[in-house]
Amino acid sequence: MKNIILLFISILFFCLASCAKHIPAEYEVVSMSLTNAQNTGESPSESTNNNVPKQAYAIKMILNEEMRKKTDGDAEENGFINEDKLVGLNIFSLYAFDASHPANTSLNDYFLTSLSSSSTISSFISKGQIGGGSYKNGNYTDSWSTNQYLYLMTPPALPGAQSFVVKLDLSDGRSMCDTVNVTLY
Amino acid sequence: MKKKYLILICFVFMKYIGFAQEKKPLIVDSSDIAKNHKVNFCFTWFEAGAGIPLKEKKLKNLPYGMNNYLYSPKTSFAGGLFGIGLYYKNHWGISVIYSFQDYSVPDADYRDYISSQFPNYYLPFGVQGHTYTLNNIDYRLSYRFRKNRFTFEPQFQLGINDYNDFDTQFVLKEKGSNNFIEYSIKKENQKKHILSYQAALVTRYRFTKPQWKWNIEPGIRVSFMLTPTDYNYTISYNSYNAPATVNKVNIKQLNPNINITVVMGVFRK
Repeated sequence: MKNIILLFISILFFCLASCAKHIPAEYEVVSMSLTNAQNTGESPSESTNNNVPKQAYAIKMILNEEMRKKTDGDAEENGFINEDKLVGLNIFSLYAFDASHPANTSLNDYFLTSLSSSSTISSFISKGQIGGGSYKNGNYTDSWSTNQYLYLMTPPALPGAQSFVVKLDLSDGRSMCDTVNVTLY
Repeated sequence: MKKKYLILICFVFMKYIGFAQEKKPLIVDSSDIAKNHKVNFCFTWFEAGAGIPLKEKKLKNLPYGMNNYLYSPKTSFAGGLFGIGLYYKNHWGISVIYSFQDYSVPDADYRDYISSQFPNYYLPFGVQGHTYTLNNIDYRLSYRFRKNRFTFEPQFQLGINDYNDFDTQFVLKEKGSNNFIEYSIKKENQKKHILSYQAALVTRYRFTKPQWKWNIEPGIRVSFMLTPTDYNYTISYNSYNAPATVNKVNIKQLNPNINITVVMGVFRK
């Protein structure tokens, strides 16, 4: 009888332990920088120079992140959430892009955040999430960086130099901005 | 075609019962007779084994690559749990059991087809043929007879299934550019219920002693199964910012397969 009670308690404990709620850890995007990327292969890679085929161009956005609030338990199971939500993302060029997009006008409609027609910049903003968590062997890391590619889906008709600017606005009032120069051919 | 298979199932089932009736005066195991009741209870702990799907020739010439998508079944997992049954005078029985099957297909034929259609594109992870799972309570009508330590039981089984069929969608990336094609196969079930029919023969060995109230009966179950389905498939693909190419096709399948499972259960004497 004693053994049966012990077994019952063990099963109950196991059930409660496995049903424990996972609270996501919170991180913050602290800075952002841009580089050029080319996507001629199966997946994008950082460009070795500033000359990129216009039909395979992507902006590589490097997000530097820091851990803000760790939670108990396994980092992978808990998941991550960004402390400050993305509320604005604007892409524009300092040069005229095409006839309908003179310098400094938004090019958001020409970019996607992944290769899927639903991955528009506006849907990216509406989700509010930017960056991603990081862990090593189930434990949290204090700082890391993640890459977010912005794919140019409508290249300019003519080759030429561009100077793309990406501006991020976060819910705590912070803004981040960087510029990347490229020659699209 | 469907009627032909159903007639075959019924014929096999009746043939077994006919055989059993002819062989009725058997050598009786004294340990069974001792506590023979009018109604006997049977519990099946589990059934586990393989399902071997049979190819349907009529699927060979389907358009839009659907022949490659559907016509490549491979061995599935077939199982059952916690079956309970009542047998009248140790012969006629009705039982229910929770059963499940998981069907997947090898990807090679379908991946080759997509590659040939879009040679200038990278094939992503997730291009795979038709997969589905079946699970629910199945109902069995059976006739049990025995010879020495062996028990033979032809069964007819009806299942009203949860048929989980997953839409297929993937993105093909063009080589040398950011362009891509979004490809999808959507499925619309045309039937209210997806029924499955099985004709089976279970052969069990009886472990028993006169003082035992229950026989322990491990065995092997071999069944022929049909799961008629009727689906409208919509196959569409489109490049970024281009109008989609949409194709529709109705496909009726019987999904014939043979299940071979190991059975473990007990039978109240």
